[in-house]
Amino acid sequence: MALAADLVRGRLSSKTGARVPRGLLLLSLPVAALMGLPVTYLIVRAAEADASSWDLILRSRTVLLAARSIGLALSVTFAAACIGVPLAWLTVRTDLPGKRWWAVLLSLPLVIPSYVGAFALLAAFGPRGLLQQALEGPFGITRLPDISGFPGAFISLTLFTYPYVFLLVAAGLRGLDPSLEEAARSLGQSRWRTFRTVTLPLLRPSIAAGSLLVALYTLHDFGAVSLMRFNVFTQAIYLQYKGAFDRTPAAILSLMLVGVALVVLLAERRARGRARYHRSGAGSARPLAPVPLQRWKVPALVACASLGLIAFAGPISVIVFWLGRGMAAGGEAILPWGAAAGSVVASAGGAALALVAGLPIAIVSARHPGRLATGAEAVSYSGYALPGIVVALAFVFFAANFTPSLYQSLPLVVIAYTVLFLPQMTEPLRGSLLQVGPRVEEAGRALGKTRRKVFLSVTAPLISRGAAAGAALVFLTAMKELPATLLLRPTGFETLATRVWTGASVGLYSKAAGPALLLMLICCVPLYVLARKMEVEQVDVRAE
Amino acid sequence: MTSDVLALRCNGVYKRFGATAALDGFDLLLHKGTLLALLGPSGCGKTTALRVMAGFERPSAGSVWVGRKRVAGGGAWVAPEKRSIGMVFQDWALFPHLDVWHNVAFGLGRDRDDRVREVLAMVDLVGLERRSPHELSGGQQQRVALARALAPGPEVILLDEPFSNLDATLRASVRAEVRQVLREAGATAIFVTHDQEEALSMADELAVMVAGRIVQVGAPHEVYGMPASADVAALVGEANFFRGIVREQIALTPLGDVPAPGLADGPVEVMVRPEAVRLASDEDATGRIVDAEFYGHDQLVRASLGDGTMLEARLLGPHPELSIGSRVSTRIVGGVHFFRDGHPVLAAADNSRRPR
Repeated sequence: MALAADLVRGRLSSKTGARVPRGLLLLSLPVAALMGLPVTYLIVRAAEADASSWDLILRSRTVLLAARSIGLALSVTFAAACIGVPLAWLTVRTDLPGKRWWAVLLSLPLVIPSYVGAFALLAAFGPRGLLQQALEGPFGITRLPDISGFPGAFISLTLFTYPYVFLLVAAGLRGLDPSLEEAARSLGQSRWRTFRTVTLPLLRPSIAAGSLLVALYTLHDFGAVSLMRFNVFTQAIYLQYKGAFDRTPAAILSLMLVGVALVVLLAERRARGRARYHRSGAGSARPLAPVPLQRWKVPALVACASLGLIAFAGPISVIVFWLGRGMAAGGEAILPWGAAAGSVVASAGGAALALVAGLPIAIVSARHPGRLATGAEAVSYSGYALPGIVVALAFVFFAANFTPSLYQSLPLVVIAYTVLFLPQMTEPLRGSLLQVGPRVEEAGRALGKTRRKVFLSVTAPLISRGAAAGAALVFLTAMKELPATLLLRPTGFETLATRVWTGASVGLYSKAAGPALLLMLICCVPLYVLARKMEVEQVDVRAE
Repeated sequence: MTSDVLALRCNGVYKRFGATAALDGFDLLLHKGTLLALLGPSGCGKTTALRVMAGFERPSAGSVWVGRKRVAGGGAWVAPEKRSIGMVFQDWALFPHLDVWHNVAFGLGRDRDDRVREVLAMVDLVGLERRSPHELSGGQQQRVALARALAPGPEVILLDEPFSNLDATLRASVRAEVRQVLREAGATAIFVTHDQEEALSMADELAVMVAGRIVQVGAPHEVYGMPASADVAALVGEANFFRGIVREQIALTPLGDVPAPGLADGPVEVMVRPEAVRLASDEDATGRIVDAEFYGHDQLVRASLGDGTMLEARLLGPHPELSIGSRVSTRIVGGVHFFRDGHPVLAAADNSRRPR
């Protein structure tokens, strides 16, 4: 509100005293409005709720729901950190043979959406899965212990989210000043004590950032928990929306989920600590000599190989097996090219719109420090707290009531992607803007170019790598997105994600296999772009 | 302060990185209580030498002793944390997640509060215990790094280009402080530098390093006064080099004839320090002043001699008559050094010559 008042009085200027260009303001305001729309609308709906809706919500079942959501998020985050941190250390700091290859292989599970992972897990170990069928012949076993519920959700989410921790911590490790560890050694600390008292505390921001991504992913996840029939917030919201005519309870549940996500976000900010860790001097950094693993070399290799098998090769083999079986049975179009085209079009649209929407936000927050910049950062950051199912629900309500022409249309899907994934665009953009710095732009202005010309001829080429990374990230995430697509897509519009879902949710594994494989294959393209960027810069993505 | 007890010794140390040899037969003796400067041009292997002593690099050949204990070479290997060698890093490497107090206490065991207080008082940081490293000025960070290295009371402290991250204005005062603190602590220390002024002014002992090995060790005034090679002469202090020819024990140089008793006939390289040169205004002389840098207490004047040779002279006090373009005669008032193939063949103490 204070922001709005400042705007009215025309007082908005940055700390440096230079006014924020009006064009930039005009471009950022609609983005802020769009980002604020879902929660605002849900709050309005919840405020209209009558006593009976609140009764429905305040039953003990809801408490249980919250406990399950939070419990799952905590346990998955903890497990992902337990896998990701040692793995990062192994592949960055030791003499593990082929460590570069392991780093690539073990980040690949990132292309497997949680619902595909869950589906592979079910197709292998679930009822009528591979294991049960193999055991049925010789041993007559028709039922296995049920893996659905918490164990299934926990395993599939952990296996396919640990790369977030792994990648961020590995980047953090590479960015550490090596002389800090040498200083600790020269002060008489052993290697292990050095790791505990120096390295680990310094990695705290990276670990916190990676854990945040995992925790939010788990809280927001809809596909895996639904396939595993583990009743958490997202699934309850979906069932409430599908089953009840009155959508107010779904709105209230959504707000509660957003509240939990906000708490997680704030917790991470605290865990990251106030101290800004950076190199204290400008001394030349020399790479540390790798730690010799010696007799731990074989166990480390076995651990890496097992993880690669469980989290990547295993799921892929299971899916390929079911695809083969489907082909042998002569099912209809096993590889759904139409749905692939749908996925690519919607995701590319989302990436393009996110670039257009994210650029003004990133420029304001990087170049015009002040109250407006804080607001811009908060706006883009809020995307992290918004689960897909919640945004979808808000847009369904809103479009049905106010913009019927958008209801169940492709543009609405694209808009929802933008709202959901805006932070993934603004952060790399902001990072590269900060890296370029305002001085080169000022040099351009001093040479007689207008602000716009300078942006096009100086800034744009310099931040293009950040823009490509952001676009790749949004594209990748949008390809995997399920709940918003499911709720908002036009009738008859299919994406690979919805195809996997329709097959897997009714146990038709061979029908889900084709789209799942195609989805992961396409996801490798943006992942390659991202890997290239990380190689070039090797900077910590989020831990500043 | 210097005693006869050896604190550290390097014996024929080699360190190769691929095809290049960073250390090429590096020998060093360091006596207890000595502050030794390791001076050399950049890329000569100074930092590698320090890292081998500290245990962050393993020597390809040769041995390192700390006190009487062999810590590297001959099958021995002692990990860096067990060497009792403290290190002050070029970028100081203060732990950003710890405050000043905990940085200094890091290398100490329990019951350490008294020692931390003592060391902090020594470097004059009392009152800043709770500050984070990034809240300190460059000079303060430097002192924290020094305090941290001193706290555990190591046998030897190694300082890697300790002043290169400081402003020129700060450098002189921090240098004096650091020397004072090291003296008070009775520390044995080696500091690496490429700044000859720093090396000459701070050290008890100066070791000059060229291309991976030490070429001369001695007190700063000895090395300055008796450089063991033309390289050393150029590295330690300012130097004028000329070509001369010896005929019948007289060297003919662009500065005039200089007695060269005992030298065989033939070409010779002649070195004169700028402070051993005097200039006098002389309308008939062939020398001409081309440039002058005024420093207040003295000035460095560059003159071009009749044959085009450039000569630097350091003159005390103001000399308004020596303006750029004016004619001057030259006179040598100090030592003249003669080198053949880079090796010293004669150093004549005084050569007051007739003007030319």
